[in-house]
Amino acid sequence: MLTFVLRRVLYMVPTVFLISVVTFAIISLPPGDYLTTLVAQMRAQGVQVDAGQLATLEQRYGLGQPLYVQYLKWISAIGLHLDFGQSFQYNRPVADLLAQRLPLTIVMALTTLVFTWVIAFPVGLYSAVRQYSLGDYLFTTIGFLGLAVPNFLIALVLMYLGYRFFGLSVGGLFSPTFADARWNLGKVVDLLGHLWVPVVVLGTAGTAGLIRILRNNLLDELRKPYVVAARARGIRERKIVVKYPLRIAMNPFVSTIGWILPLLVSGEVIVAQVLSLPTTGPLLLSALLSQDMYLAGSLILIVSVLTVIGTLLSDIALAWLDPRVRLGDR
Amino acid sequence: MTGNLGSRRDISRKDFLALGGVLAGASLLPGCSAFSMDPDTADRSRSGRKAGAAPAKGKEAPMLAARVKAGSLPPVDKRLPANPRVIQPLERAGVYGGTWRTVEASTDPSWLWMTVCHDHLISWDPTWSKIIPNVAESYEIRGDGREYVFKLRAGMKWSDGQLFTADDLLFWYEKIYLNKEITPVLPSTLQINGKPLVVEKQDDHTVTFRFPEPNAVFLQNLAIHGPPFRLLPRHYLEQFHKDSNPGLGDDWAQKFLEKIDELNNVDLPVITGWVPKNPHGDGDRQVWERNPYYFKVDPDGSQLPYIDKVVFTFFQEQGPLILQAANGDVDLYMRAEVTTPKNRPVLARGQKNGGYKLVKVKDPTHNTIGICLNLTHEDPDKRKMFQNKDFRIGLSHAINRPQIIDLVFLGQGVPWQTAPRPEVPFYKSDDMGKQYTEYDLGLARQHLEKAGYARTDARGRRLGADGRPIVISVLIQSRYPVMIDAMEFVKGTWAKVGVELRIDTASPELVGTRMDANKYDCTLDVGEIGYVDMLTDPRWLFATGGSSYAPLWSRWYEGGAPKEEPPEAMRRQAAIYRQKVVGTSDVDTQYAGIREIIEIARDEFWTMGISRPASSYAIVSDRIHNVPGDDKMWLAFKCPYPAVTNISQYYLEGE
Repeated sequence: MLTFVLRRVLYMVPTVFLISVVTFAIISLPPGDYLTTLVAQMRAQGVQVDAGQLATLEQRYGLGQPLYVQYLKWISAIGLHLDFGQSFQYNRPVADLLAQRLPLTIVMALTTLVFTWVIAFPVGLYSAVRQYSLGDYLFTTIGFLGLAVPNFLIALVLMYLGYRFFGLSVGGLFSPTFADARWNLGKVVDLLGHLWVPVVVLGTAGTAGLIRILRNNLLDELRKPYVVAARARGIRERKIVVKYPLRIAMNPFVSTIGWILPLLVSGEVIVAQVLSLPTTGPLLLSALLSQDMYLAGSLILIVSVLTVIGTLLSDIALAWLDPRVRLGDR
Repeated sequence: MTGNLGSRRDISRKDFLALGGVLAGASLLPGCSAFSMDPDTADRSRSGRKAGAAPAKGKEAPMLAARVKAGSLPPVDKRLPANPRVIQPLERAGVYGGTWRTVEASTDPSWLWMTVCHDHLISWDPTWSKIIPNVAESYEIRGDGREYVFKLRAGMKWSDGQLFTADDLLFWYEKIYLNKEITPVLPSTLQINGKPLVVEKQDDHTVTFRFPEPNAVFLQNLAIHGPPFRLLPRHYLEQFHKDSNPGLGDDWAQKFLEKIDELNNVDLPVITGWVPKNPHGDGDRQVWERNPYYFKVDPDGSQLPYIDKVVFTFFQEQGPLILQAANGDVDLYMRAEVTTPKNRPVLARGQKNGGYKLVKVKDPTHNTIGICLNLTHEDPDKRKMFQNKDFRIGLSHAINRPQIIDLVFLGQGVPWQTAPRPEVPFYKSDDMGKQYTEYDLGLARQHLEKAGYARTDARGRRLGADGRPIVISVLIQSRYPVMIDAMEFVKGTWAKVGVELRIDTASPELVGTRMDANKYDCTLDVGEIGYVDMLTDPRWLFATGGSSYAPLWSRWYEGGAPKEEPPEAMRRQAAIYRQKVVGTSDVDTQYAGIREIIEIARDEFWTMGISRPASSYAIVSDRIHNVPGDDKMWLAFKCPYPAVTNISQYYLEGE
């Protein structure tokens, strides 16, 4: 097991390096850079942009340098000082921007995860054990609806209903009165009052997917001879299901843990954008749109590294859950 | 409660209840706010008056009076300059307090610049007709705009209480403007033909700006949204400048530029009515609080601003922003992207419930769509074709403008070329706006034939000089979907006279890159700058920076490479502009000059337009007062409304 983990960790080093190169290349691929975006914006605002101003900006942002120099500058600062560089667009250190938005992003992602699991797990279990029952049809239909309707549409509808019937202040995670207040019980309650919208929106699609996966896996297992044998020996039904079939059916839950970590950072960009949430998703989107190199690069790099780490964690968990994974290592 | 709180295992139900009781009790104690249900903003200002409290009026805001009483702030007489600027309230004197709630589309700071950030030496008056002193007590123009003398207010202070003097302007000049690391290239509005301006200090309160040649549009250029320089505090910035602090590292210039970013550096002393309490980069909200040292008063001598705080809530998407406005959570907002005809029905419906109204705002935009054929096309055949005036007239007659106005612009607007708006004081005639706007395919064919494109192929497609059918591809920025809709109609009617139009949509950045490279046939632009702003930015009259129809000629005027000398008519326009508009501070001469330029532009017909837009609107809540009414404000960048209407005299009442 230890060698398995060690080898996986070693694989991660070149992977992360390659990811960083690819990230930087991708961000630099589209024509123009932050400056052209800025100029396009300024022109649209009726601001006259002259050659002198352009030269000043180019010098200020160091955009005239060759790409590999820009890359080396960026990656060495991260590697040596954990300095993610300066965001052009916000004129602030990237690290500050992340520090400000990460906590709420993580709170939202974890709440969504718990919501998804709390719903999907019992429902999946129920609809497998009681296949083709009324409850099975009811739950899975609702699940399908959640899966089929685009998230941003649910978000818009919920927001409109909130505005139309409850006079809710739409968008964001806090009411205006609490937005710059310090944390106290009132602020937490206020947060909870707003958090349910994105959680429900984000949770619906994931829930439906997990219900299907759990249901199908469990159905497969329940028909296997060992279950029949156990049942024949008179073991209680509940124990039969929970002891082995459920454990195996949980495999997809565990193997997707790896995707949860990056989700904590990138969140659901579109939903966060539509709901104007103060999370990292909209930050990434606007950074990409305006080619804010260091900000976009850092976010993608962090998300990628978290994916790599998450995959490692889920591999370890899988190896623990399912001995066959470990055996391949011998 | 005995000592078993420490070990968690054996806590009994009784103990648990007791603990709960103690905690609940604690939350009721004053000072212990962790369990309070109210917003805890003790160290920040109160968010406005408590409901029912008597409206306050006096020499200063109650929140500042309290600080004076506590000894943390000098009395108001010591904070105001000897000669504060007196602002006449629009309707009546206001009361202190409250929070002006507004919104901001994403992180675009324009709305901040147009409201809380705009206070320069001079300003436009609220009607956008003349320049008046602002931070400067008075100014004087000498030598036809060669020399500008500003008299500063004695005893005026920065928001941290330090004196604002001539030295602050001199610091900007010597340490920023003349410093090659911070300003590698001089801004074009602050130089003449590469020669820098000279700033001199006469005494502590008098500063002279001297240009090598007359620069009569200097003041107009200071009065715009995002002026070429800002007023910066020497006493604060010296510590970050290499000249006065040699210990700084090589990247000091970058750090310095971060320090003068007033939106993000909340420590930077400013002179505006409100100061930011958190960085703009926080990205979901920015709070601005009154500047206790603001230099303006109302006629009663009460220090302005009336409003305690301005709160900007940021929205990444328009949808929630509009819902918030319709919900009545916005006191004042006007930005072209949001207050479009498209959003009007939703916002109009919410007026009663939301407690706000839509106030008509004039739009200085002269055209919804300016059609810019590339007059300096790299292909000689196409260049000859586009430069042919008859060819352009033919195309213009082949556009069904009333149809586009009806179907794309919801019936709002009138057919118009890329000509000055009829309201401009320097051009009373509408002949430039109306010429060649009638939809007449016969006339169009005549002109195209006259231009030398009479041959057509079997399918009726007109043939170019190379014997191949004429195809014009139009480069449209993807952020203007309305333009794409309109061009579909143009495509249909141009096809009737045998000219094929191809629509090519690209991101604004890509469009910019292709235009810079001179690789395009035709592009579209919003015809902004159609009112008196044409005087400082004549981009639609002849090719200058920001114009989209002749990149090589524009570079001839602006400097840059590759460039090409424009035809005689445009050279004459540029000469008139330099001599009569920039070269003199006499308004009559300036107007006469710009009229000549307009007449040449009319005769040459460089670009064509579709329609003049209808007026726009602002969202104004019922509780904010002293805001100008219908048709008193413009939606302009060259004259930042509502800032020029003296937002410091707005007040809130009746929540």
